[in-house]
Amino acid sequence: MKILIVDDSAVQRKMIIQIIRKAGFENEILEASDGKEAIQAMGTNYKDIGLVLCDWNMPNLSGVDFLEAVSKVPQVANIPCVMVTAEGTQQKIEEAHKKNPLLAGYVTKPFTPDQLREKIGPILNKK
Amino acid sequence: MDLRQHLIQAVTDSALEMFTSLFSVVPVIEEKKDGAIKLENKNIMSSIGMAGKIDGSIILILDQVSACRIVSKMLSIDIKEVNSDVLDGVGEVVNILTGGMKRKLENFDYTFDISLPVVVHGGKDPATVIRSAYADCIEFNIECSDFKIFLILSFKVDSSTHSKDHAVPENKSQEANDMLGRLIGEQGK
Repeated sequence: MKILIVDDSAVQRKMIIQIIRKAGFENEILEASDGKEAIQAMGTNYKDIGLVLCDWNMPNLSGVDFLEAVSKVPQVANIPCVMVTAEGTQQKIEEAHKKNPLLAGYVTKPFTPDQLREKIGPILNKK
Repeated sequence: MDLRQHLIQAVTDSALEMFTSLFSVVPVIEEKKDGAIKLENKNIMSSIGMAGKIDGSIILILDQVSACRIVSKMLSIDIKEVNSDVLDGVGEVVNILTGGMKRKLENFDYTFDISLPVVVHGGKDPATVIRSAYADCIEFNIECSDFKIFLILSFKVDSSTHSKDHAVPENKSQEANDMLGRLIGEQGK
């Protein structure tokens, strides 16, 4: 089962990968640096992706628009998606859930490794 | 509390939260009043724009050594020279810091949207950083044992009524939806 990490910051993607690996998960990881790359990655790998971790503010296509698109395509709508973003206001959290009603979680930056593990651990262990 | 005090508190709280979460360090954060920024070597500047009930920008300025040390801590590796990860990491620092500030100011109804970070590397003298004549400015020193950051918050309050509808035009997510559907359809052939 693959994990798709979507963030325009390469450093942030590396930090998340380190946390995943230190937690003992060896899943193959796909990376995308904006929503458009994420669409490509999802479109060609959707049968194998079991978790998406997605930032909000990115060039070309935002994370929330990517997740909205995912929520409307039946073949991928049930893939667990977790927002991982510096956008932590109540307004933004509500907006994200409205755009993707099946959103599996919302992690606000800065987060500790434990905070991210608590969110994604149950999803990865279930798979 | 007036806006200026809210902003000082929001920056301070956000910086404390970020440095303790990411680096397990507690920085010393002080409002800087002397106006001069002196760095030993070439600087890196990273900024994010704000627009909404507060318009302005947050600018981080730090020297190359501090930047390398901060991103080394983020990635748990030892970076000696500025590379693409260091520039990216500094952008992420200002992104996280501004996001935290935004979250704290929401409680007082000071809402705004933020841009993507811009990072500029090079130039010896950051004293030419523009401090707008049309906006108020608060400056901070953020210091730990092995790095130092200058932060400039330039702002003005927009007293006009802003539409709260910041939704992306409908066709952007529809276009993404169409593209995803097409790719999945091709996989099925």
